[in-house]
Amino acid sequence: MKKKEFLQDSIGLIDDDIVKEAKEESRRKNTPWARLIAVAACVAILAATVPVGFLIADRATPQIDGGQETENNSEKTDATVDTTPQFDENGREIWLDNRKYKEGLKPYGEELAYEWSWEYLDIYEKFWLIDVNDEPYYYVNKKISEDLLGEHLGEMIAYGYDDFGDGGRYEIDCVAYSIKGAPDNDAIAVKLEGTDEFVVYSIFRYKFDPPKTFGEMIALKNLSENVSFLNYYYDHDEDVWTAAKKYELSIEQSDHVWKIFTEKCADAEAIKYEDYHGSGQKISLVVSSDILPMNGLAIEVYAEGYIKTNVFLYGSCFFIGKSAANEIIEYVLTNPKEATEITDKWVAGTITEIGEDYFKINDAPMMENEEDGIEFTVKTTDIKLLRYFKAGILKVGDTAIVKYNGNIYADDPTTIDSAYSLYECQIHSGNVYIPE
Amino acid sequence: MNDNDIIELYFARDERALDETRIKYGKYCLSIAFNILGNREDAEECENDTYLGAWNSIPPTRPNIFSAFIGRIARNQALKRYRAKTTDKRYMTEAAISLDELSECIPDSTHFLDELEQNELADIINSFLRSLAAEERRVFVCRYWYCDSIADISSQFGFGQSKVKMMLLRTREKLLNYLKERGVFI
Repeated sequence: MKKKEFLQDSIGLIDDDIVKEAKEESRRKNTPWARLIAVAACVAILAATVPVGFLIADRATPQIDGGQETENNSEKTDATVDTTPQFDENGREIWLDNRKYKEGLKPYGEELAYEWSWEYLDIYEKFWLIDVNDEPYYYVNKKISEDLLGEHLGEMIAYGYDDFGDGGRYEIDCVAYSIKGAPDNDAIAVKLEGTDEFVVYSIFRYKFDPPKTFGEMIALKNLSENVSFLNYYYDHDEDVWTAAKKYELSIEQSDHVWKIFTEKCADAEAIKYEDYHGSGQKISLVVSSDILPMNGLAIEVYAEGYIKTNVFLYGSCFFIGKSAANEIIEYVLTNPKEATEITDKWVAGTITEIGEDYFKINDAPMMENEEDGIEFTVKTTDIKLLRYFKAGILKVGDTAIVKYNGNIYADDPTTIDSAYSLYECQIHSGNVYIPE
Repeated sequence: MNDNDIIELYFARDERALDETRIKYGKYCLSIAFNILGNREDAEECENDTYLGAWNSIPPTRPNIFSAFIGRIARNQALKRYRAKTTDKRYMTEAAISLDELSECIPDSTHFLDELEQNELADIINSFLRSLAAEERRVFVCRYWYCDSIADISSQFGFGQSKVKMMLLRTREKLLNYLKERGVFI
């Protein structure tokens, strides 16, 4: 037996109480209808094939992170309130929140990975698999516009399993198209019966030998054509992640980076991913693609002369040499333009009423003066929100946070109709818990 | 059904034991096997092998902590299947990745002492783990016992992924020193 397998097997023999303890916390919310497990199956597919923990996904979408220091400031403050009236594209006046929030108060919470019973799943969670030529394609959370549809691939069946019920397989009809420019049909556009939009299903098992050079990797998916870098993060030292700032790149700058990649780094040889741990100055180029399912991925360029990337959902590392690496870093860092972080819009407070297609939340706990609290009516038919109530995880009196991506309007300042996320939270200041 | 009742069914050779185990721990075993094998079909077969393994082991074994017992069978079955299946790098599951990480705990030019038994090494690792802060220990076990991905651990503990990576890196370094101090290498 190899020595590392000897170690792995010895770890397998550690005491039962230590094994049990590791998972205790994540089982704290067990209920008959919503068990908290490590991962939902589809997430597991992704996670199992992504060996590197790039932070880009976390950073690109500012979020309120369970009790952790986060880069985005989730604290609402009245210090920067702009009182100039603002209007949406239809000329409707947007409500301005000029209330005084309690200083230092933040909602802390985390969107937990529940596994929901069948009745609480949305259509894509139910039917997350499609077999095409005996290869499983998995739903990825990405919509695609119809002008990117290519060849009609045919009528197909999407399916999923009722893991909490009878364990049976359930199916739905769908129509599938190739995606223009998507190499090797690794991703397809699919419209499920009863829906009116196309979403991406993708194959995750890579069908090729690991590329031997960086140029080979670029060529595999025609990355220089299909991928842009519209943002990057800059770190002096990987150990100090929180110091990284996000910057913008123009299309021209992105093209120039690709030019350096293709002209000067194509012959860079692959090295074992684990052989380079990465340290020192680096930039993390955030991958953006209209057609490839590459959300939250990055190409990292280290001043020490290395590239690390997870663009194919597994870690790859290439030695491009210090000269090319520094040329890219210096070019990108010339006239840096700090990116405007899109701040999540949210309301946190106490759930006061729950209806069939709405719920109410009062944000008085966040206010300097509780009388300033507003009871917002959140209108939604999205099962991904309503299931928290239906399953009894959230009830009247609980504290929760609602995120939304539209506007609240001045003529109806208590209605939120664009909520996309809901979860339990606590409201407190630093380490001091504020009793509700 | 509570764990003791399930164990009693095994002792009574009542096949409901298998159903009850599946109901209570099916997803748990499946997720352990899936982390290692990265393939649902294989993981499901492995889950079934796990029940058979439990059936063959109880009695005589009476597990103290049934979840750890059943999880250990799932892990062993999955690792056995994984190692038999392939050494192909393309088959890069969390088991392969975490295994590579663990190799950092073994200096390149060294080997474990010939006479060292797996149980002895496990005892040393037990002592090491008990010397760690609870959070550090739990993260280590999630990664190297359950073969959870960094993303999953990050989600479970509410840490950023970089924090999990750094925590694991430091724990591996500590383990390397701990093993060196105890003279397990030649």
